[in-house]
Amino acid sequence: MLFKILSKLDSRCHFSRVSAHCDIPCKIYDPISAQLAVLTMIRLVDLLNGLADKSELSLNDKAQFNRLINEKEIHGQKVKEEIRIIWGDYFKQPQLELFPEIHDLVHSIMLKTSAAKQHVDKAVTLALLADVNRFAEVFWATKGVEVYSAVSPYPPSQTLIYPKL
Amino acid sequence: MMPLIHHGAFLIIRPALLYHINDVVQVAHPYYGAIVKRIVWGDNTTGFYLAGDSNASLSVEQMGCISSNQILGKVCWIINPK
Repeated sequence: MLFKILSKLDSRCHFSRVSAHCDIPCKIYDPISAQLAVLTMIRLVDLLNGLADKSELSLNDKAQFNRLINEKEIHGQKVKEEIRIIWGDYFKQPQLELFPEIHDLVHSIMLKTSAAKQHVDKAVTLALLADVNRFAEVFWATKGVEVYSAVSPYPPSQTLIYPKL
Repeated sequence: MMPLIHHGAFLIIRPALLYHINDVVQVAHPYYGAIVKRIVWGDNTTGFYLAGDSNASLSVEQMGCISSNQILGKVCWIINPK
């Protein structure tokens, strides 16, 4: 009753508006961004190792080296950010009860991403990919979506977990 | 601010001399504009930190420290849609 009266008053007087939902609860979460960022890190490590094979680096090689390292840092940050957002915003009590391993898995991803940023080491980036793929498996399982693994059709041609949509 | 404040609710907001932890207040935020949030920490001298009741809300860190002169009033009455 009171709400109806206020609604009618509002249509005439136009009360001022405030927002209580300043964050958009968009519910759009997908681990693919993190997976692609890891693939990029692996690709960058491959390119860096290509430079390491050269006996002497030209000016362009040195510029390329700086660029590759910088991009590896950026994509490492992206992996961390994407995983943290899904873990922090999407995973709630029902998902945590189904997959209590998620906290350890996310922590492992953070540590491995740091290691992959600190070193030019393909083994570390591959171990990171395995963790992020597992994260994707868990994520899709909480949504009841089946997954399959396939080799990415572009370099560095590594296996990714994809949802069967 | 779900479940306390539903979308489209009417709020009666009144300025106060002092604000306290747990008060739901209207804030003129420099980035997010006119918003309603709950005080979770702070006082009138150090400034306030606010958070939403909903899990989907912005974090305390995202909103930053709010000074008392940015708080426009305290929510005294909530009329939610039926």
